[in-house]
Amino acid sequence: MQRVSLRLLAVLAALAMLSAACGSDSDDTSGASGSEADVAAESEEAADADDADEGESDAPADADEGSSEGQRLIVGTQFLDDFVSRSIVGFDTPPAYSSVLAQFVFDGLLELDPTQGYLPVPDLAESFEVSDDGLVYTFTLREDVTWHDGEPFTSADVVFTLTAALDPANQARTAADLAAVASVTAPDDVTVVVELSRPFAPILQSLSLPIHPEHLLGAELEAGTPPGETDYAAAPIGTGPYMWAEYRPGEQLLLDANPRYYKGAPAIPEAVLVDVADYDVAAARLAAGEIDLSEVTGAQLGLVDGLDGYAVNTVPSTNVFAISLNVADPLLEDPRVRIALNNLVDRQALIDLIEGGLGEPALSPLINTSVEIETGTSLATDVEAGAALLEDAGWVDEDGTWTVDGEPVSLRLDDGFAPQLAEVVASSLRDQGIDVQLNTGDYSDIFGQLFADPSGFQLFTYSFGAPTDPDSIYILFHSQATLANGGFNAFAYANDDVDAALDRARDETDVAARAEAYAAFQEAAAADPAYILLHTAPVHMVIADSLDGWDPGLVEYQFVRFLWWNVEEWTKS
Amino acid sequence: MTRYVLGRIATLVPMLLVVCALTFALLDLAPGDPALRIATQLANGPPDLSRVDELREELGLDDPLPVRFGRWLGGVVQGDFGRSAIDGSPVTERVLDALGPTLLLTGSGLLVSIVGGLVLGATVGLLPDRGPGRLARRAIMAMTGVSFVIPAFLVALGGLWLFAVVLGWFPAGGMSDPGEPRTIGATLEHLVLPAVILGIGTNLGVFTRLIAAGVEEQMDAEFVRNARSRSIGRRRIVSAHVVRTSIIPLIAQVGASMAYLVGGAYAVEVVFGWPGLGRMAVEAAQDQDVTVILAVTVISGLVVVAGNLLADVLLGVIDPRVRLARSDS
Repeated sequence: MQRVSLRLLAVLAALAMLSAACGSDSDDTSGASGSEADVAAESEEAADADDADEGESDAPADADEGSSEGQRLIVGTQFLDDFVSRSIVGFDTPPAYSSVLAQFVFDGLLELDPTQGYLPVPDLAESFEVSDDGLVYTFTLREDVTWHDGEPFTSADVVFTLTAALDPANQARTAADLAAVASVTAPDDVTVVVELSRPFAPILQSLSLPIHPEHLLGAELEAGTPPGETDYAAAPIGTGPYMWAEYRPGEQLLLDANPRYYKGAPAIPEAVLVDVADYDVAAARLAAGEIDLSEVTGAQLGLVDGLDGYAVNTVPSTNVFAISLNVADPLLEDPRVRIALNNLVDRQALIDLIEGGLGEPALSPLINTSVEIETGTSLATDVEAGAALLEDAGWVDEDGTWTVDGEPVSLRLDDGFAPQLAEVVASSLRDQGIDVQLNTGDYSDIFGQLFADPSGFQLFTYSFGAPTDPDSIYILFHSQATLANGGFNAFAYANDDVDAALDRARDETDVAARAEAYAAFQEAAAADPAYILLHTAPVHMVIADSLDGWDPGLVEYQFVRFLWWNVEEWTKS
Repeated sequence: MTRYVLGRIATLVPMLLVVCALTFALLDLAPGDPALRIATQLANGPPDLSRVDELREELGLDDPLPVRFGRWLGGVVQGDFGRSAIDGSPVTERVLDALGPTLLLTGSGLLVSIVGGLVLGATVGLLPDRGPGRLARRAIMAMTGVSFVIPAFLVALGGLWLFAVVLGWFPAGGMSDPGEPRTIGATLEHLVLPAVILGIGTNLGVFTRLIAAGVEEQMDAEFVRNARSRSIGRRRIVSAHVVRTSIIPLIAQVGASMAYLVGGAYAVEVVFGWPGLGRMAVEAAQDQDVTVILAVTVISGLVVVAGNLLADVLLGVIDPRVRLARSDS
């Protein structure tokens, strides 16, 4: 035993020396990887030639194992433990990143369909009707759905899930999204009636939350067990395309195809979610051929571009990066100053320095949402227009430094999650003569301080755009969406035209009428900005050529959740 | 001997207490309100400020620091590290689950560095300082220097790319292949690369130099010259006398380098997706899950202290002088 490890060590030591000598010149080693890739390509060709023989289509990594991995979907993901420990019974709706797992294991009453502009379409519900006053939603459920344990799915499960999500004792993170729900009832086994206390069009998206089985979770919650500590949470049962098989904490989650899935059993019999610590590790495991797909950032593109057997798919995102402005601060009260800041910030520098050139300036808070509207240009980067506006607002340019009442202007920028972005924004404003003091810190700390007392803040890095329904901006812009009311309008921004447009968009169920309301919102918000709108960046998904049938659609809020919407139709060759 | 071991344990208990107290106090010094932080983490939106007060009461945050520390320590002594503030899961169970993989990796990495240090050190010590021997000596010394200059995290990333990606000799991560059973064979296969990298990335350099210095010094020592004059074979002299004598400082060094080793293991765990304490600590730090951070710190402290103790006991067994000297002091 010792002798073996000695010999191994000697070989490895020699190689380590070699690698040290080669330094970081990766081109030196491409010869080796090329030959390995050729082998992989050959075996793939062999598999193509003989479709029936699935065992031959192995990726290079398991060549020494000889197992038939061709029929296993292997997904690299971060935060695996978070998905499991927090989301399963956190009643998270799809806007939460944790719902990646929900898309495999669970179904909702409705789902968001990328092929139909991300509008909610029936899932567990076969159809639904909305009353004329927009207050009563009646869902007719499918009768051919069973839980993974074989029990039939009924309206009682829906009533149970929605009631549990609304129960403050369960501290569900979705409770706020469902706040408009007044009652949930089930007249019979296939009908669910949701009554709202006020018209609330976005409720359909909230009702896509995963439905849990009453017969398994009900008794435990009844007994007062917090959702995260239930036996059910350790091995949840859903109705979705894949069934929970085995969880290895910190490492991987194994799922089996659900043979009873109502849309038909998935074509790939097993799925594995593999935890990758960060994007560099993801890139390495992709390059080693161990995983079929993973997200990477612009920083890893050099490592995965041209990787044999994989393609990089760049997918647009709904996520907008922005700087929140304290409209109550004396320096920022004047809307002209806030427009000017939008004109002065160098968006292209952000895109180039942070996103590797792959991004778009965001000139509206509504980017890639399910409502299409034209973006205005009044907030676009235009240094001269910005300077003119500052002069109108009474700022004085003294030798390249902006002053107010003879004092040089200095603004504080607080950041809790994007230090690089904050640095670039600060330096681009400094270049225009506005001093910016940067204060970066931990996410929960900085946000916690903001939520507890926003009055001391001036500029604040922020990002939004989570749900594709444009109503997501309501909690940012509406004067009623204050922190005290559970909204995100931390600085008490208030604009009557913005309020009116946002309210109208909630009342209207007609898509065209909603689009008009959001166009009106956008115009009013651009004239009285609450944010310096920065940019939106795409997400890079590296996907194996052997996978077929996927449609990346749109990526929401940095996390790839829509990719899985049709996972049951994917095939692997 | 038993008295000696018990005595050593008795001196380690206050040390562990100090570690616990320091960790607790340091985390307490972190800016911001823990209740507000937790509420922010839990909320899908802004935290409910009344919930912040509730949390503060639930967690007993208004009590003075010594009271909170005493309460927490009381639980720890009974093996209860409390519940995660973020997801409510019992922390003890999670930490113990992760301890096994960490011990396996740390132990294997240590073995690699000891065996490697002995072999390379003896080689360096015996090679003549001229001709090709000189070159080989330099090469080995330069290679073992890696662990002095490059942080373990970078050694791990580099090793991952070279051996798992470019050469494809080893799996690139995890403790088992995706979806495959977790067999002993699979675990070993996944263990080799991270363990070797951990060994090289942490202590191989120190151990090699230590052994090399010892061997060089002792090849000139009187007892070696005597042995030589009795025409005992060179190989026998080295293995039976020289290396054995150098082992004592090596064991002492192992004890001293435990903290460095455990730290290195955590870096390697993150890169190789090894489901141990290090991974857990990084995630807990991202989530600001103080209960988990505390538990991981204390358990890591225990591992380090236990390693120290083991090295001490071993030294005492091998060399009674150590035992005497230490129990005197």
